[in-house]
Amino acid sequence: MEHQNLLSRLPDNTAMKQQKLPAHHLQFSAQKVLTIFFGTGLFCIFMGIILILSSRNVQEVEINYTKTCANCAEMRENALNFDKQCSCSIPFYLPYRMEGNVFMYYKLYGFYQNLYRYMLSRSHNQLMGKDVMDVQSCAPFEVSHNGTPIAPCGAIANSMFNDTIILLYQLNSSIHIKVPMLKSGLTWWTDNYVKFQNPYSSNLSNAFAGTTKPPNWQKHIHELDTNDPGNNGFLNEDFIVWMRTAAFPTFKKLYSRLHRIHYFVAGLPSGNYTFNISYNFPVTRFQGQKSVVLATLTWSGSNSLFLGLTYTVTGALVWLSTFVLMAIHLMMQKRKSRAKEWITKSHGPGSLTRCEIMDRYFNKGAWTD
Amino acid sequence: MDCGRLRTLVRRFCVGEENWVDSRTIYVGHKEPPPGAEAYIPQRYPDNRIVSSKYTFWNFIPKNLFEQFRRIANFYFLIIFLVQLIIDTPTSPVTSGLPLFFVITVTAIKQGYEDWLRHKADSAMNQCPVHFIQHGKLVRKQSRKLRVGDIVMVKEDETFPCDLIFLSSNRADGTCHVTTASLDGESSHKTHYAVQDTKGFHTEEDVDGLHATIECEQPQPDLYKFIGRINVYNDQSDPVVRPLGSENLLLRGATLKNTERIFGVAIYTGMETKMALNYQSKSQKRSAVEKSMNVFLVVYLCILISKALVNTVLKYVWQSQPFRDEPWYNQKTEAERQRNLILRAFTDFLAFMVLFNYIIPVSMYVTVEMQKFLGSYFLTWDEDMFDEETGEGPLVNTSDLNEELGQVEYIFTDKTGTLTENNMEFKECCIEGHVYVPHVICNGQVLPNSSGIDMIDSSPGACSREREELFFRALCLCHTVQVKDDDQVDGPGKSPDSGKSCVYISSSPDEVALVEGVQRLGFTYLRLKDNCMEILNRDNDIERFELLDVLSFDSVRRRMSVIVKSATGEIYLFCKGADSSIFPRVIEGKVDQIRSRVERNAVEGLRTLCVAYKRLVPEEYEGACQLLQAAKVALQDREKKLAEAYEQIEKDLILLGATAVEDRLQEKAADTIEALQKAGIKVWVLTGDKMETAAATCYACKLFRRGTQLLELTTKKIEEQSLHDVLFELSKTVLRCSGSLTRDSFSGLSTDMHDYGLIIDGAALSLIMKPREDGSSSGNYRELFLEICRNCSAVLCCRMAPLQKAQIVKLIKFSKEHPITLAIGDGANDVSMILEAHVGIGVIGKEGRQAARNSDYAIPKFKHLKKMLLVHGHFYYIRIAELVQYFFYKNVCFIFPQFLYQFFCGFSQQTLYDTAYLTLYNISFTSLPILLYSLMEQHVSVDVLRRDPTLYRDIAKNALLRWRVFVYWTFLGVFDALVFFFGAYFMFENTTVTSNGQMFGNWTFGTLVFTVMVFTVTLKLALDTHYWTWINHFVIWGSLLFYVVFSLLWGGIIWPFLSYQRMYYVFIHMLSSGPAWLGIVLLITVSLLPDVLKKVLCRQLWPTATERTQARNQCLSVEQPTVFMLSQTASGLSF
Repeated sequence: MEHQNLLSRLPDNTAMKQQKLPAHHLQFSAQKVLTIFFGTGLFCIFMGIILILSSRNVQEVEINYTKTCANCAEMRENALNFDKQCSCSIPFYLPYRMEGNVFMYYKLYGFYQNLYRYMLSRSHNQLMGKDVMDVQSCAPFEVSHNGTPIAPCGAIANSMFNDTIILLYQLNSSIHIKVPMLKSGLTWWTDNYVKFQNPYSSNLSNAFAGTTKPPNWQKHIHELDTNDPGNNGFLNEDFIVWMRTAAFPTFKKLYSRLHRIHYFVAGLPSGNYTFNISYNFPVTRFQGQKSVVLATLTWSGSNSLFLGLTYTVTGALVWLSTFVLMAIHLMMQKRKSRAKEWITKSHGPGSLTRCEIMDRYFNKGAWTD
Repeated sequence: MDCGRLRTLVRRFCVGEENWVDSRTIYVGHKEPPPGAEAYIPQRYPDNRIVSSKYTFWNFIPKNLFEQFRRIANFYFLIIFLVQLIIDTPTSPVTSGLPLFFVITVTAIKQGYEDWLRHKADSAMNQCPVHFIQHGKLVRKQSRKLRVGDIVMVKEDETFPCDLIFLSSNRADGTCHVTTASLDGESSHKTHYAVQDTKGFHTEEDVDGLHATIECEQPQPDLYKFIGRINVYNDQSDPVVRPLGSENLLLRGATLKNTERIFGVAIYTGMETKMALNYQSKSQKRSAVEKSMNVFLVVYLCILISKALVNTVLKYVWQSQPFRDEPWYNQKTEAERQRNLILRAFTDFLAFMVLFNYIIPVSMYVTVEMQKFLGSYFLTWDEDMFDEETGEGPLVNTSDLNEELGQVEYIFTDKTGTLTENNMEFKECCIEGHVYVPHVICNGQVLPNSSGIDMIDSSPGACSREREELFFRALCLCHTVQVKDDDQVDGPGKSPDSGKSCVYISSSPDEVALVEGVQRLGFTYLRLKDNCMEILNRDNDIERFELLDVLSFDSVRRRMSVIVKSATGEIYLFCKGADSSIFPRVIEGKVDQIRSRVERNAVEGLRTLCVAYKRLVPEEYEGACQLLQAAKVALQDREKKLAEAYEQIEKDLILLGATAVEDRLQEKAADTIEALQKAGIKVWVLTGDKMETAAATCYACKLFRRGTQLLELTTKKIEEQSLHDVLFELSKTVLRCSGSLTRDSFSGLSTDMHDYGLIIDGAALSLIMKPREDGSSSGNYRELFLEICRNCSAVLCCRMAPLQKAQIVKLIKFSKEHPITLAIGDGANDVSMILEAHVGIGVIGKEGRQAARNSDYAIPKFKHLKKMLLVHGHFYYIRIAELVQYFFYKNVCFIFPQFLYQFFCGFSQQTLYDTAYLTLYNISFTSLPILLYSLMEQHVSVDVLRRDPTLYRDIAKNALLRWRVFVYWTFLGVFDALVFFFGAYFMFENTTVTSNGQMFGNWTFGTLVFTVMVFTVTLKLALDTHYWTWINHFVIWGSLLFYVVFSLLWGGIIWPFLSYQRMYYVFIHMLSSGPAWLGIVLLITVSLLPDVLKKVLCRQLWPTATERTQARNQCLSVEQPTVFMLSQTASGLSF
């Protein structure tokens, strides 16, 4: 009875409490490590080669028009000229065909879309169309001088890229035709249908009544796209693209994509092209640059040379280390077998377990020679 | 109750310094001395309250908060939190405030609860009833109400409530017996004497009539020292003055034995009692791991500050051009423009600090606390550490020191009750070469055991039988044992047989064991009556011997003798003593046989004594008597003369035989000590006991071996030579050998001749510890002493006062290597050392639970120490070491990309990751796997650790938290961070990572980096895990899955409570792009590769003992490993 009392405090004999849970002991055995290393190397090299090969199909043309567009750059230097028009055409020759889907990007250099205060300066409620007057978090572009709320408010919206770029194809010496470009599918589906919504109203100008345009804008938000009435307000694709802030000061944003009809079913044929640019966005004021990019893509994106090369180099390194490990392993094996001979000689075969040999052998460095 | 404390404090405060005097005067029974007597300064004394608690109800919150914020980490988080509150920062104050609040609250609750328990224990002690005399009547009061000057009555087996001057006892001779087991560990009975003039006061009225004052020194912690005097006033004559010494003082904590009741007057009460002064205040112990954690923390703090500084400076350099400071697209508000530059810069600096503050995560402290708290349950749950006899399991009083159990370098162990069971047992005796083992008791029938050497004749001849009986009589007579008084109460009428149940009392437990042993062999010592010793022989006849003289024991002679006169008129001298002191004085007897037996027994750790006798003719006795008398009355050099007289009398003896007594060692004590020594731990025995006894125990538990050369540093030796000479001689001896031989790292194993054991006693120690007068070279002896100790494989310190034990521990603790010390003991006398050592362990023993209560851990038996250190300690250490390193690593991975990102965002404090990720990274995405690892990991199995104590050396000296390792982990973190960041950067820069031409923004970039990071960091831990149970699988894969699910959910819904929706669909879009997948796989591979490679190479080329064991275990479990099979399997051996 008393004995039982004493034992009542005996801890439970469960595997968990006694730290005896069945477990797999992870061990780096030579075979395992070598196999895994070899496999990893193989995979990396394989992927690398595929990526490099696929990246060869990607074509990209970039035309920097910061200062080459008439004297627009100097004009935009002065903020007072913001409402003056300035445009130019930049001809260029495409020496090869660009096959498949062709995308047109604008690219900015030295524009910090990732500044802390800049990124905060937007109103989610406004952009969702919930309350067009909610400009709380938009400092310093909340309201205009006369106190009217700005729509879309904030520094990001205010600084939206507002150049228009039109690509012309010189069919022959006299005829230029406009390359058909699509202004749809530039944004994430979720942005277009959930994150950005126009305020509910019968027409757009009513929806934005009582607000004013951002100070740097030339047009109102509901007049951004005169060609396509659906592409206006907060749902304007260019606007949505701009509102997704870039990670680095040098960035590319999708401007339009090729509509593959008529001459352009297969892509852009080689030949002479011209960009007709209305130059509105001042970049020289922050010593930046801008350019327009035409690019094709493969399954792995536009330029997968980095991935491909890294994969290849990694694979090579892994293989190299595999061989080094193998060499070391073989060296050790030799030492082991010498130890075995020694043991067999002095103790007779079978007198000791292999592990004991290992122990003795490695504990006494003197035997290794 | 608190009012009482307050009053005490106020009183103490008001008394102040000026009234403090060297001595105190006590009015016995609070009676003023008659006028005309010397004027005394009245003093106030504390009441008899014992306080061990730290907080009171009122000061708990401020004091506890103050103590918590003294922790560097807590303070840091508080600062960060305040900064976040004050300035505009990229992260919300909630992210750091909430965890901090949580941590502080949990810790406060835990400490409050612990203190409440202490309050309860205190009040139980303070409220136990005490009898004292008031106006001639016996009054019962609570112990805490006792005041200095009160006259107290204590009954048998009660403990004294405070320090008392012994006034009288119910015995006529004014003596009482006391056991101080819970004070100094000696369980033997000590005799104390009442004051000469008051010993006649037997009743309450008598005592109440006493009119006296006592002057004595102010309380001091030395248990064995007391100086005072008592003035007894009579009505007519001048006061009688008597000196008081420690023999008149009864200490709190001691127990009255064998005396019905005593009266005493309280002189030291409450916290001023010698027992309380011997307690040290409980200070918070910090483990070595925590210390290195704090150091790492400071390093990271420096990194953090320098990061913030660099970024601030660069920010202003970068902004020096106005087009960058305020580009047209990012204009400042009016308020911002007007801010002072210095203020702006400072705010920026703070903002950067906040941005990077995650590098020192609050969650690390939470995880460490949880790991310690939960991990300690494994100790209490351990079945192997449960003692079925007592029904006790291990107790964990503080879980802060778990990992310290894996770092112990010195163990200081108490002897009595810790190493031994505190239970002497007569083992055997050897008479003329015949061995008798009294293992069977059948009515006094002796069953001679013939397992001896060369005496298998089971029917000893008449001559030998006579010798045998003489031997037993000698044992019955030659001692100073007292029989417990119960027998007297029963009166002479009781039957002689009942004498067997009588209880013996002696200051030496060996003697009791001997007398009891002889009793089992047929001879029973009954009592000492009228100077006649009565023994009951085998035939149930009472024999009477007149006790003529006792030549008492002393440690120099190491023997004692009695001279008795038998009923037939023959005079015998019986002598009993250590073999070394008996053999030279023997002229007859089977010396060689007995010697060999004695040596054999000594090797087995038995305490041996030799017995000899001689018959004295009356003339000889006359001569001896005169010698003794002359010596006893000598006024000068009495001791010396007595010794000379003894020397002359105790010679020409006839050897009878030898005895062997065993102080039963605790089960497996020797085995445990051996294992601990193999593990590289030095074991010291600290005991209040005699040197001989202690040394025998040390032999028995294999602390000293046969080959151990003993060095003595004792009072005796110091008396012969000066301390200086002794120390230098010893150090020369020790250093000569260690110099000639390069120190073997496995010295614990080596059984070569250079194996020294040091014995030191308390007096010698205090000489060493005492600062020297010349001052210039103080501490010189200490260094020398430490040097000697370092070279000894075992050290035995005997005759130690409790505080001296603590002193020794302190001495080692603060020696230049700063080793980790562990103290283990079971009695109240060990408390101070338990509190002093890095880890204090209490053995839940017989002598109360004081040690267990004050310890950090308590275990039922000494043997449990082995598993506690070698298995649990080892596990705790490797677990927490990985935990600490991993936490720093994963936060470097976390924050370094953030730092790099500042270079690309104009140093504008833009965060790379979303707030949710910032908050949850440490709290949920990466917290559980490491917590689980730190609870479950077993790099080698329990059995292997227990079998192979040398593995303990692998982690000695904080091996896994050395700078090298720390720097490696940090660099690994930086490397991984570089891979994540620049890998993602090059993927993003100028390239489209989708196949539909759409571009990703900065949040996608951050999410990509974050995803790679979470996977890498978790997989790194998975690679470090050796012990994969289903829980590990569940948690590791589960937390990765959780991350993915959370991200899907976080980005899948427009969260109504958020003012921004920047993460909306970011994660899903990232996963929908093929190159992102490829990039994630690549970056994870690249960041894991170097660590795996390093691990595999190190294992192959420079394996540690642990890794070799892992390999061996694998080969044991995989195949039946024989040499034969080795030739068949070419490569199965692990890296």
